[in-house]
Amino acid sequence: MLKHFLKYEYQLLASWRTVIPLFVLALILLLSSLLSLWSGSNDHLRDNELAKHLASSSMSSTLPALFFAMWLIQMVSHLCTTGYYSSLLYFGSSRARLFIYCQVQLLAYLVLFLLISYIANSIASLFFGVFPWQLLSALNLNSLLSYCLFLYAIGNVALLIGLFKPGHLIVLPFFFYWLMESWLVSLLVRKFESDYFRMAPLAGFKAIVGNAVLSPPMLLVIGLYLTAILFLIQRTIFYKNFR
Amino acid sequence: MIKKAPLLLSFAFILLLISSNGISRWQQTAVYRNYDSIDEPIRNVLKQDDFLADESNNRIFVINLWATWCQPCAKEIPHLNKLVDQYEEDGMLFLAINCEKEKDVIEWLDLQKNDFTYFHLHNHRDLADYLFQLNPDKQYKAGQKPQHLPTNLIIQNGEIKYFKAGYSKENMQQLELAIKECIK
Repeated sequence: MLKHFLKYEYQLLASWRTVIPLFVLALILLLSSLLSLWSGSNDHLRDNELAKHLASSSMSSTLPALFFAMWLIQMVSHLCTTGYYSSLLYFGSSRARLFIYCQVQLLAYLVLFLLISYIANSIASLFFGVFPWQLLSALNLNSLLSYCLFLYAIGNVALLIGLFKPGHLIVLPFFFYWLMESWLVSLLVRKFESDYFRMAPLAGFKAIVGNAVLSPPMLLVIGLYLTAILFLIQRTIFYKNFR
Repeated sequence: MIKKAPLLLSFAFILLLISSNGISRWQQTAVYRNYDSIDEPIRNVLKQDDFLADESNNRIFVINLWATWCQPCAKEIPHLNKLVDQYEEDGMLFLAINCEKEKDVIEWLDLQKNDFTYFHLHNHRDLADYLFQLNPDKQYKAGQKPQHLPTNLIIQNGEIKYFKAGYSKENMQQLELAIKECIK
């Protein structure tokens, strides 16, 4: 089953229509790597220290996840509106299998995103005298695991939005909500000096890659959010009228 | 089975999240787990220094992490000099650590009004990184602890007695109070 799913994905990504958004994503990641390297070199970091700085900043930065989510929303919307999912159903796939397929799709895109991010970081770091293998040796595997979990959670939010309301303009309200929530949470945390506001949905997911070790209530809240989102995705797939 | 997939996926996600969080907690202490005492790396560096080898047996280390490009660090020098004049005694070592080359620091010092009256260690990024990781604030993950300059810390008999980042008169007063506590 998995082999088939991955084969479908390969065929989808071989099209130039899907490569163009990927190229734009790579350019954004390259720019953010350059900014991170520039800030590191401003702090007088060089060689391994600069590689360590880039590796840790890319594994704790939440902004690339916004672009990952936006890319995913437009990709899922594209697959919905072009009848790709309905054709899978038409050719005998059950709705329950479609849910699993969407999860495999998300994981495949997550790996692809990490690969693009590494390539962008490697290219950008060459301008600052840091070599690609230095980035790998400076990488903390636990941070990578946290980052994968964060991308998976954000990716599911994007999947839900893409399936529930397919359309390219849906990216804009999501972008607006992301900015508003970040701003409101930081404002309320400072004003009321309470960490409870960090339990807002996106802020909760962002805490996975944050500086702080997660407290048990935070772990519970993140778990509940993800369970709710996964059930909503399943429900959307089960009851949606794919055309 | 497939219908229960969301539940299974959430369970796997939470399990991985808890493991990752547990590893983060473990990594918090990993930085000094290989040493008998947290001041061992400082003593090792001092032992290798011809000029400072005799100081490696001190009981109390008052450490200032700084850089030439950090303006507040320069403002701190006269205050620290005053503390050195008042409290330096046997068993206490005032030490400034930076990550720059000695030549660059000397060039910078030539242009300054205030010279240090305490000891320096130059070009010691590894030691500075290690000392930042000693930040007693338990909420930070290892490798993500803030590395703000200037940072002052006191280590007495292998224990962190004071750790504060940033320059302000209040911070200097707190540092002085902490020194007084240590020499009581």
